[in-house]
Amino acid sequence: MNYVYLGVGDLYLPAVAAAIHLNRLDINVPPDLDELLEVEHFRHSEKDDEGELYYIGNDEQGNKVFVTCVKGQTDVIVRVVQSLLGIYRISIKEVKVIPCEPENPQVIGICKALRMAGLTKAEKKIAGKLAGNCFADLIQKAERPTEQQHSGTG
Amino acid sequence: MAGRKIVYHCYGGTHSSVTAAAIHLGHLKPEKVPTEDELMALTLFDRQTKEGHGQLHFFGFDEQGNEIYSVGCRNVGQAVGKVLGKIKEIIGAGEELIFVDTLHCVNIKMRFGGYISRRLGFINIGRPIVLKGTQEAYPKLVELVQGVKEGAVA
Repeated sequence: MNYVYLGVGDLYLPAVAAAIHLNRLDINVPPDLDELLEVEHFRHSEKDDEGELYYIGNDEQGNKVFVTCVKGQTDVIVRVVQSLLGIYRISIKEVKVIPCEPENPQVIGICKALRMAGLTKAEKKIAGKLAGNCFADLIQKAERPTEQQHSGTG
Repeated sequence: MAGRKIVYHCYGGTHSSVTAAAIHLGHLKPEKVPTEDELMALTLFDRQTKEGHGQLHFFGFDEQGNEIYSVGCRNVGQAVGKVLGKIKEIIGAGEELIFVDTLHCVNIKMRFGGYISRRLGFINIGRPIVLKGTQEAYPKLVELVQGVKEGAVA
C-alpha cells in the first residue's frame, strides 16, 4: 500500500503527517520548531513541486509514504487517483491520498508573502506554529501501522 | 500506439475535453464543424457537475485500440498529470498514459458561456454561448487531436 500526504500551497503539513506516520516524531509532545526543521521536506513549495511525489520512507509494514502538494482542489486529486486505480483495475486501497490542509488557508498566503519579502525565518516560524496547531489533527490523519496493529489485536 | 490510455483534460471536463474525445473517436467529423445538436448529443457536453471533476470518463476505444478518456481538473491540470504519471509508476501499470491538455484550445466564449452555464447554473443563457464558442474552437481541437493521433503530442 502507498500513502500520499497532500499539502496545499506548501509541504509543511504533509511532511509532518508523513513523519508522524513513520514514527519520526513523538506524538505525545508537540514538536518545537527545531524538531520540525529537521523533518524531511518541511518546507515551502516551488512551482515544480506541484504534483511531484517525494518518497519519504517505508513504514513498519512496508507501505511506502510520499508527500506532495498542489495549489488547491485536493478533492480533484483524491478523485482522479481513485479513478486511475479503477481504470487499471487496482484496489483503491492500494494508494491512499490524504489531504493535509490548514483550517485557515490564509496562513499559506501569509507564509508566501513573508518568503517573498525575504523573511524566511518568520515564514518558518509561522509554518512551525501552523504545524503545532494542526499537530493533533495530523496525528488523526496519519496512518500509523503500529497503532493499527495494536488496536486490531487488542 | 495501441494499448495506450489517452486522457483529454480541461477545466470542467465538459466542453473542450469532451469534444476532443469525440473527435478522436470519430463521433464528430474533423472536416465539418458540428451543429449544436451534434454537440449536445455528446455524453457529458455541458452536463458535468463539480462533483464529477477528477473522475476519468471512458469514451471508447479508437481504431488503434487506445482507450479514450476525458476529465475535468479545474486549475490543477498540470499537477494532476504529474501525480497520475507518478502513481502509474508506483502501481507498476505498464500501459502508457497520455495526458492531453485541451484548455489552450478554449476561447473566451467557451470560458464565459461555460462559467454561466456550469458555475452559475444559468443554462439557458450560458449554453448557446458555449456552443458557439465550441464551434469556433473546433478547428483547433481537430488539430490537437490529429497531433495526438500522429504521436506528435505525448
